[in-house]
Amino acid sequence: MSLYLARRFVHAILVLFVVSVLTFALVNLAPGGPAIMTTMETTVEQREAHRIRLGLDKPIHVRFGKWLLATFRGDFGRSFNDGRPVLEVLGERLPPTLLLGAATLLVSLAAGVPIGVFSATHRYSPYDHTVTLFSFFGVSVPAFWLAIMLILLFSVELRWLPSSGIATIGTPFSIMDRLQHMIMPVVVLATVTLPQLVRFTRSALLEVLSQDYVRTARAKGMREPRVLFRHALRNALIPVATVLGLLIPRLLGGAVITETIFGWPGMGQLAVTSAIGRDYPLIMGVTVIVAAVVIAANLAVDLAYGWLDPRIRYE
Amino acid sequence: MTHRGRAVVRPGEFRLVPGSESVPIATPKRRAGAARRLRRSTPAMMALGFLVMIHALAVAGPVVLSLDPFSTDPLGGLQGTSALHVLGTDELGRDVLSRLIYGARVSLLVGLLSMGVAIVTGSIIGALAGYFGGAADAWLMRFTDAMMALPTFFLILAVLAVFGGGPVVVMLVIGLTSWMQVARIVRGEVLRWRVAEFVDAARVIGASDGQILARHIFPQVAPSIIVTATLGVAFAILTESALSYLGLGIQPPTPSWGNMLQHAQQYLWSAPRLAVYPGGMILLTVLSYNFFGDGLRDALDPSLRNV
Repeated sequence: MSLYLARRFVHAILVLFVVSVLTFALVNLAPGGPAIMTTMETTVEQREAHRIRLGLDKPIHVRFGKWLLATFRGDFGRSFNDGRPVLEVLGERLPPTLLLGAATLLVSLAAGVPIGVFSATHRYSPYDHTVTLFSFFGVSVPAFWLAIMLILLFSVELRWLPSSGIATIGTPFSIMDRLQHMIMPVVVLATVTLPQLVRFTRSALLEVLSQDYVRTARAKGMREPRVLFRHALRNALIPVATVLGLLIPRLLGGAVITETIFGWPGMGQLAVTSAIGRDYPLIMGVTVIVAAVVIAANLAVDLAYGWLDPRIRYE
Repeated sequence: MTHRGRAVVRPGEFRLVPGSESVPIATPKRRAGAARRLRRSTPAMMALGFLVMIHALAVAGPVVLSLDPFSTDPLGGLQGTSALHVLGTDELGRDVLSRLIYGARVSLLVGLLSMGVAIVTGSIIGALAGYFGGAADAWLMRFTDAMMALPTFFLILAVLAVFGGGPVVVMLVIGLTSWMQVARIVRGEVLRWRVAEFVDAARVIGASDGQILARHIFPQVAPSIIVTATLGVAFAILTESALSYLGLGIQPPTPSWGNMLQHAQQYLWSAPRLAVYPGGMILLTVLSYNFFGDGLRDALDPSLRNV
C-alpha cells in the first residue's frame, strides 16, 4: 500500500512541476513580455530599468529557477491589478470554490448513485429511459445558458432566490442565507457531474450484476436487496471512484463559468478577471494552485481506490 | 508470435486460438449491418436530420440570408418578430436570424476544426503508444494521464490571456486540450489489432510499421475514432461558446452563439428571447451530436449496449 501511495505521490509532484513549467513558459511567451506596462506612457529608460528590476534580463532558466524557489517560499509575486500578494488573493478565493465543489460532489454522489442503481435494476423501464434522456440533456446544456435561465426564472420572475454573491451584504451570518445563495450555482454545476455519475453507476452496476458471483449468491437463495447491497454495490463503486477523479477537473472548469455568472467570489471568477485583465502573476498563481488542488484530489481518490479495491494494493 | 491454425482469416470469422484475435473484422457486410442498426434508432436519426439541416444552413448561409448580420440599425434595436426580421433585432439593430446562421458557421467550424486537431494529435499519440508498446507506451500514457488530470479550462484561459482570442487560437487550444480521450481509445484499439493475423501476414510480406498502421490497422480503428470525434465536436462547441461568452473566444463583431449570449445578458429583462435563441441553438446542436454519436457507437458495436 505504501509503495502504491509513494508512486502516486511522486507522479503527482512531477505533474505539478510540468504544469508550472508550462505556465511559466506561457507567460514568458506573451507578446510584449511578461511585464508590459499597458496603461502608462513610459520612456525607453524607464522600461529598461523596470526590466532589470524585475530580473527580466537574466536567461529564462534562471528566471524559472528563481520563480520556483520563490513559489516554495509562498511568494507568487504581486498582482498587477492592485499590487496585493498573489498568495493572499488566492487564499481568499480558494475556500468559496472548494465549498462549491464539495457541495456539488456531495449532491451528485448522494443523488446520482441511488438514481444510477435504480436505473440499473430497472433497465429499459420508462424510468430508465427518462433518466437517460435527462442525462443527455445534462451534458448537452451550455452551463452559462442554464445559469442565465435559472436566474431569469428564480430571481427575476419568482424572486425566490438571490441572483448573485455568496451572502447578502449587510446581514449577519446565516446558514439559510448562505444556502439560498448556493442552490443555483450548485444546481448548475451538478448538471454536468450528476448525469455522468448516474450513467457510470448504472453501467458499472450492470456489469457487476452479470458476474458469476452475483449469480451464485442468488442461486444460494440470498434475498435480492442483500445481493445488491452487500455484494454488487461494493464492487460497482470501485470504477465510480475512478470516474470521480475524472470529474473533478471538469467540475473546476465548470466552476469558472458558474462563478462568473453568479458573482461567486472564487478561483474561477478570479481566473476570468485576471485573464481578461492580463494580470500575469495572478494567472500563473491561479493555474498552478488549481492544478495542485486537482492533483491533490486525484491523489485522495487514488487512496480511496486503493482502499476499496484490495487488488490494487498488491500491484 | 506463434501461428496456430489457418494463416488466413475469413471475414467475420471468430478465432478462439490464443495469439490471434477473436473479433470480427470490419468488412462491407458488417458495415451494412451497422448502418441498418443506426437507421433503426429514432433518436439518432432525428439527431442526424437536425445536424444535416443546421450544417446545410451554415454552409449555404450567405446565399440564403437576405440580411447582413453585421449591419446595424441603431434606431431599430430590440424589436420583436416582424416581417423583415423574422426573429427580431438585437441591441444594435442587427437581424437576429442572420446572426444566428452566421454564428452557426463560426461555432460549427471552430467546433469541427478543434476536434480535428484533437483527433490528429490523439490518434498519433495513441497509435504510437499502442503499436510500439514498452517504454514509449509507458511515457506517452503517463503524459496523457497527467494531461487528463489537469483542469484544462484554466490552462485555456491562461493561453487565451496571453495570446488573445480569435478563431485560430481557440481552435488550437481546445484541440490541444481534448486529445487525451482519443489517444486512450486509439491506443486500446491499436493494442487490440496489432496482434491480429493479418498484421503478421502483412509483416511477413515486408510491410513496414508505417504501412501496417496506415493501411491495415487504421481501417479497423476508424469507427471508434469517428464515434469519439462526434462526441468530441459536441464538447468542443460547448467549450468554444463558453469561451466566447466570457469574451475570450470569438471576438465581436463576429457573431458566435457564445458571444451573442454575452450581449444578450444585459437585455435579459427587456428582451429575454435574445438569450433564448443562441442558447437554444447550442443546446439543440450539442444534443444532436451527442445523440448521434451515441447511436453511432451502439450501431458499430452492439456488445457495448449495456452502457
